[in-house]
Amino acid sequence: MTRILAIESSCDETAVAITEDGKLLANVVATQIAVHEKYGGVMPEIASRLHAENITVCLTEALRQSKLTLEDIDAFAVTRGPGLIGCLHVGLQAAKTLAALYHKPLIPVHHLAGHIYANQYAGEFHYPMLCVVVSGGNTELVIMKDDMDFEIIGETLDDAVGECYDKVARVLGLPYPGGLPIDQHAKLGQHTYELHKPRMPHDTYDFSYSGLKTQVINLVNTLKMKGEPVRMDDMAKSFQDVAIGMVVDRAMRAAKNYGVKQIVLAGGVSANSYLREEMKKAVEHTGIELVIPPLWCTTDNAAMIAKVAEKLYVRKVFAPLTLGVDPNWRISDWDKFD
Amino acid sequence: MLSLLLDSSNSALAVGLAEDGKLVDEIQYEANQRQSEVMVDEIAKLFDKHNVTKKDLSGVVVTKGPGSYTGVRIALTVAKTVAFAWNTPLFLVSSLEALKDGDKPSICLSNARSKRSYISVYEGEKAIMEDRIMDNKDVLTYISEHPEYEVCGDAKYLGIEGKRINVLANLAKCAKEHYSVEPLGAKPVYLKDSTGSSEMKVIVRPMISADMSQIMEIENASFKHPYEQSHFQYELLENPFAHILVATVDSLVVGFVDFMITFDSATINQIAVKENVRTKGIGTRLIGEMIKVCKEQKDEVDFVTLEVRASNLTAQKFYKRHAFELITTKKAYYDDGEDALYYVRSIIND
Repeated sequence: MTRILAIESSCDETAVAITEDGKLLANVVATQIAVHEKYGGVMPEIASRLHAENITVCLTEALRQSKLTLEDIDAFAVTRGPGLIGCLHVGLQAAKTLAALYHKPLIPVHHLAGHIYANQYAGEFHYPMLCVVVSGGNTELVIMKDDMDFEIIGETLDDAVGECYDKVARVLGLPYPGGLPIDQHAKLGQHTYELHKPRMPHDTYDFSYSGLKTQVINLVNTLKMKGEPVRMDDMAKSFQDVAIGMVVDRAMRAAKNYGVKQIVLAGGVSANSYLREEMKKAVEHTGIELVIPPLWCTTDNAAMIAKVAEKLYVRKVFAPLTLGVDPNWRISDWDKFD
Repeated sequence: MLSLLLDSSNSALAVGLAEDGKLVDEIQYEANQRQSEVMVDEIAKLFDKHNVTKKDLSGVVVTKGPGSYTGVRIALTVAKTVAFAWNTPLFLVSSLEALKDGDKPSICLSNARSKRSYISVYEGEKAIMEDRIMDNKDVLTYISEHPEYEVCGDAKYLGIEGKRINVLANLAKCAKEHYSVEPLGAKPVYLKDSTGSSEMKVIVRPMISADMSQIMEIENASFKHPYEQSHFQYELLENPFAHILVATVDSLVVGFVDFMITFDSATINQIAVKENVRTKGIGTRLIGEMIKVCKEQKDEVDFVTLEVRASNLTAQKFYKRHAFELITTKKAYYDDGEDALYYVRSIIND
């Protein structure tokens, strides 16, 4: 029997989960969204402060839920990156301390591998597989030919798609995080505003979102100067078409070229209903299976970190107590952490 | 019994073991922002060397700031985790007090950057000047006006050779008054707020578990008959009708409102604001945000009710100012026989 305690603190959720042979015994998430929405985005220093305040509270609650004690845990796992550096430090200290006190292995987990493997709470993987990783901090296409085998084939050259949503929401006066409110407005609107896709090579799998964000800001400012109202629903729809269109376009092209059996969505933006619908439509009659994560897995949590940690435990991917964080850790380097 | 001593609030890493107020062993070096990597490893080595197990440890003593934000968080997170895991007491000591020169009057300094210093002045246990942030030119003036005081800490940034103090030796002598009653929610002292603005920015948000100790502090200081912590625990975790909003300044809780929404009406259970920030509109903000929450409900909330002790005139004045009307007096409503005044405010037209 293997019991793993996993800690996640890479952005704005402090989370602790405990699993026993893959079964989730505890899943605690202390979200900071209520704090950050006042600023219209995650404030790294404030997020780090809240992690430091919440971490032991979350640990206590996880143990209570699991009805276990720390002596029962076989390994301590932690998100080592990517993420906000100050935030990552907090989870790392807690995990290292527990591993040291109980002389148990320390397992370093890649945050995005976590988001991908969260889908195993929904179903099994069939390789080769395309992972569409879309969140507030990342936008990547990853090909998996086998278990824990990641190849990045495309990524954003500037802003992440979720970050772009948040910034556009702020310009439009919508609350943070921007994904849901924009999605809701877009459902009521028409694509009437002219927003361009970024000029990029036709065969690229890379993304660019900063130009799209700038276009929206300029358009809103121009309308305001002219004294014309911004039709919120139409603006949201026009923006979302381009933003999500870019994801669907790249994903489907990659899926065909790499001959994948499955496409899995991962990350916060995979909660977006329009992305889900468009991807469902796109895979129709292609024979490719689309795996959509349960909504609770789209936000940051430690259950997904525990899921990856189970695989690493079997492979004995353990870190020394001198482990450091890596805010820019590449998923293809998931087993390199010196 | 041993205590574990930790400090990483500035550029150095310091890990020590103490017994009966005296250092048993120590590891100290310039870690240059590598504290996150090395601290736990050094603790593990020290524990191995001295065969320290759970039953040998009687406490963890850690510096809580002010200092490098990340550095302070590293030692404090490690200390909190040890205290939590081994269920051992946690002691929080000011990073400046840890620099004092025994019982001699000491000006304790560290670099706060932006031409400012963290400064405090101690004479033994007594703080002549409490931890604060000060412009470097004022610090220099203060030092020149107090030539009899020892300047302690790494003051090279001021062009002064401060006396180097063994922080761990000071932490070893840590007195009982530094005991943290709520180690799970223990938080660093930053002194500066993260946005750098000097005006008071009040943020109202839903309560989280880590707010508990601060809410209890305000509750106990504000009422003759305070609620027990278990009440707020129940409201926060179990009562599906309850809402608790907290007002924060620089991420410190300065007030809260605890209310319940049951279909068409809301009831205020408790509202309190920290004494030193009263009459600055924080209570008004809390009432306003509470009404916003009421308005967001699927089932429309039409009115807000509350009971207040007949003797609590300050609160009654506050409610009247916020358009609450006295409807009736409930005789001997409270356990001790005191009457309650029942107030109602309609929010239909808000």
